[in-house]
Amino acid sequence: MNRIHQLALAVLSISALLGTTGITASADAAQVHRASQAPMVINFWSSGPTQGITTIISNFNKAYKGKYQINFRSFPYTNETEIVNSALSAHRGPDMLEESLTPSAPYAYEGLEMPIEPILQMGKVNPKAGFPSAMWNGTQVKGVHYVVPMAGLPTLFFWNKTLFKQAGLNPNQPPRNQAEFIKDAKALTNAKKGQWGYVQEPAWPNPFLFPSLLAQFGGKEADPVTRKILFNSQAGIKALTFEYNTIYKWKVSPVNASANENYNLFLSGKNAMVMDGAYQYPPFLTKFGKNLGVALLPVIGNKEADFLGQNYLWVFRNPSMTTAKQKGIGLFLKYYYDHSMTLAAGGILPVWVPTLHSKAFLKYPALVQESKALYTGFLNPLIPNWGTTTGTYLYQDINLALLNKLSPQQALTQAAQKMQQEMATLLH
Amino acid sequence: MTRKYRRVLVILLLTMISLLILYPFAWMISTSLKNLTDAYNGQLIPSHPTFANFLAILNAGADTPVLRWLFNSIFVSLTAAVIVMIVDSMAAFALARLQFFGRTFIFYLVIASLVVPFIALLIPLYVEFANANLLDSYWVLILPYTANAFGVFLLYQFFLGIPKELEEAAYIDGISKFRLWSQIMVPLSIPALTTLGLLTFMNVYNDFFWPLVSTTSVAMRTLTVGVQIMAVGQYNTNAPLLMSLTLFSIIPMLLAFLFAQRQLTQGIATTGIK
Amino acid sequence: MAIQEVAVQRSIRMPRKRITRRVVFDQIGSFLFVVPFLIAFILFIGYPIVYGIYISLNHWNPIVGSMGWAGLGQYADLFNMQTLAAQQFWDGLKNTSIFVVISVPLLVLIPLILAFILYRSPLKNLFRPIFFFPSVLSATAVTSVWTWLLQTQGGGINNLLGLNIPWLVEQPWAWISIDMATIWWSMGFNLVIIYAGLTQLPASTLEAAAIDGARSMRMFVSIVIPQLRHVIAFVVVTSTIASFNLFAQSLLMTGGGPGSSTESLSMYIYNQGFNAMHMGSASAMSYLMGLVLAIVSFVQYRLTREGNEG
Repeated sequence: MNRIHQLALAVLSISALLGTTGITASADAAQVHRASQAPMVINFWSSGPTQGITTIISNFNKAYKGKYQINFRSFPYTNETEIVNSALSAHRGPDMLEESLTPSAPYAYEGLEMPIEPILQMGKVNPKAGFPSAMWNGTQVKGVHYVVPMAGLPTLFFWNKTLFKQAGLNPNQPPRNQAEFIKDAKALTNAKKGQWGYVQEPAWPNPFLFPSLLAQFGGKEADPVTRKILFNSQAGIKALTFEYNTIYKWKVSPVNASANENYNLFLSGKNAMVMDGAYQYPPFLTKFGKNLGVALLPVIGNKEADFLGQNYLWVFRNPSMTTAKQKGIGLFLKYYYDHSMTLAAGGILPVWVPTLHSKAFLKYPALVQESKALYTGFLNPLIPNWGTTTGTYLYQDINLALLNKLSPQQALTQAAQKMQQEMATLLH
Repeated sequence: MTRKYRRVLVILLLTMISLLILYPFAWMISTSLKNLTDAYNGQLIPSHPTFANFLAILNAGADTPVLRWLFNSIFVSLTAAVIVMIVDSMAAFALARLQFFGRTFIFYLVIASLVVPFIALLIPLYVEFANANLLDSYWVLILPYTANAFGVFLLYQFFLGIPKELEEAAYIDGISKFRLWSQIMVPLSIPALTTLGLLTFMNVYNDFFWPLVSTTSVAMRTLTVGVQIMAVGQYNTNAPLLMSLTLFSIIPMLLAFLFAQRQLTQGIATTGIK
Repeated sequence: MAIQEVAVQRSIRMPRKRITRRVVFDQIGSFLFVVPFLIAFILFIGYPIVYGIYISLNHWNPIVGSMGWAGLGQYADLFNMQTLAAQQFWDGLKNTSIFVVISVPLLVLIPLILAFILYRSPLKNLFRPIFFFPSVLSATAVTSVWTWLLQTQGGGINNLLGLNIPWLVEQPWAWISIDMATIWWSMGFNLVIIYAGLTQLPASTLEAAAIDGARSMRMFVSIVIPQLRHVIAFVVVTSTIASFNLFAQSLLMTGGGPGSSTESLSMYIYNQGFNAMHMGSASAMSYLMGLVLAIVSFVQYRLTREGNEG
């Protein structure tokens, strides 16, 4: 029995040790609160890029010292949903969340987001004049705006100028249409040497590329209001057939490319052209400098169109949400947009028209190129998680088509059927 | 002669297997010494090696207090491992060697709990800690791991394997159950206990999901979570940074393993019984 | 010896009729050993499991909580193949089972043989850490390096072999790749456990097995394995459970492809719960998976533990 007492004592002392450390941590936190004269704390969680944003936030906190305090927490994009949903289920959710556009829809349909326009008004942010129309229109749920754009991430065309020169092509003349693309790709390909004009991965980056090509052929992914699947149109088949042909007909892309191959081979000079999201820009630029070409996508279909990857912000209808807090959020958003040149310095594309049109912005020629897509680009239909998890069936079947297991038409018909069924299970 | 020949053969075989195992590791080291754009250029020996990624760890700013995360990870994993070793060996001892009402039921309940996927428990556990107001503290990082059914099962199986004669002799001497546990079963199962301690340390140290969800402040992160947030971007991963951070973060675990080597191999034959 | 045994039997196993105060105290004394664990178990496993079962009986949304009682409806849906949930569940279970069937035997046999060789080999203090080392890596690091090694064009392994195998892209390679990475990653885990088991064996067993040549192998099969049956039973059951929870390797190496062929059950459950926000249905899937797993593990446990007993 004596031994048991000793053991109990040991366990107790361990707990005590833990206790003190735990208490110290919370005491620290409490001190921080007191020192800054109890400002209104606004919790801001983000799964988006952090470059520039952390600077803007700490400057805002300094500018509004004693009044508002933004607490920023960033986490990996792929883990957003379990973090936020766990927190919401315990009523510990954030006040503001930054994510892609379509994950905002389920919360909106649940009535858990604050309408954003009154908040923008409190901060004197004019959305119609401030945001490129492509980033603002079409983001309503049941006619109400709940989200504001934070950053853009369009789909772009990259090419390796050195390889163009070696193949006898004009390094400053990217292909402008499908015929030119094929011609150039053929000239750049030497399959025996493992040298490719283009690398079409059967999986990624289709969530960026397929919607772009679909729109170029005049098609739409789905109707956000009726939830009718539309990608299985002639336009869709043409878009997917183009991707398929690069591998099997024109043979300008290797068969069975695996994840990241498109990117890795481009960086090692084995792949000459890339169509992918703008997030590839910084590493490509570091590697190739002046020898990197960047443009909007060539017109593979009938007209210009680029899918706009994006990050949006919305405000949760938390129990602790007050008018005063909304005002703080409005002021923060105003501050954020006014200082969005800081984002540009971090390599992130601002979506605030005054910033995009300012002279200082010209210092970032790469972003100037990117920003052109904001005017011809389009967003995913605002259906819960469209393009992220709701797109799974579509991208699985596209995968099978590009592995030559299904014809493009079969793949899209099959995917449309499954996704139409899935639509009925989504929140509405 | 044949014996010596066989020894050489065994060493050759083990060396070959080791090389197979170390091949991916060699790529990890190689990648950690490259810059982002050369990460996967296919050179096992980098043509322009750089230590920039490792230096970035040491020069980490206020947003990325790597050393604090390292401390958190070690503290949390060590505490959890010690608690689990004590609590689980007591429970396993009772379940495997003592008689009491409900023993079989408890054993199967413990084993059955292992089959429930953690995804189903994430929200209940989170809500529980939120209600107790313990989120974002060391409590939330340690306590859930102290309920380690895996360890009870492991030690139970080991206790089954300890010859009954040893404890029977002890009973004849009129020893108490507590002393039977502390003076006979524990010393006899040092390799198993050390294994459990090591595996628990490693699991807690490497766990990503729970510390990611249950902590909000930068200072309360564990190293595994911090590494992920630093190296994995929205659509792309900074492979050299990921690899150098990974190499940095596994040092404590390798040290723990080397430290435990002697205990791991201590057989019954070498333990001796007093 | 015989007398001693009887005496011991009596001291722990009193005949039922003579339940005296002493026996009750004795049982309470024994039970006390389990109490610390039970407290932790009830708080951090038991309660969440019960709460989880409650969720699975409700239309439950992570944000608003229960949106109405569903009873066993969400379980029943998993047997109605008209529903997407059922299609996903059984598809995921089928895919996961393929993985389990390949990975578990290898995750038991390879470490078992290696541990045996290692136990008697020179330089074991050098080799053991090497074999163990991959287990200390995180899922992201493991999948990141293997995704690169297994790249079709210019990947480390295809370069080494001078081949163009579509490792991560086509079946059956996708499963082979996931299994290779998994075995590389978690083999050391089982190796350490089995090694600890070997240290428990009486020296005479291992000496018998140490005799050279073919007899050594026979000894291993006929003497060492039966004596290790408790540890092997443990490794079989826990490897099966771990393999059933396949998640990161599929997600990060093949993205569930080609098509949906490597999409694991955990991935479906995760999407159903956190992305589609049907947490009730996702919990029902989890518990049904748990039930399947419980049956499989129970059978395995009895077979491995008792099959070798004779």
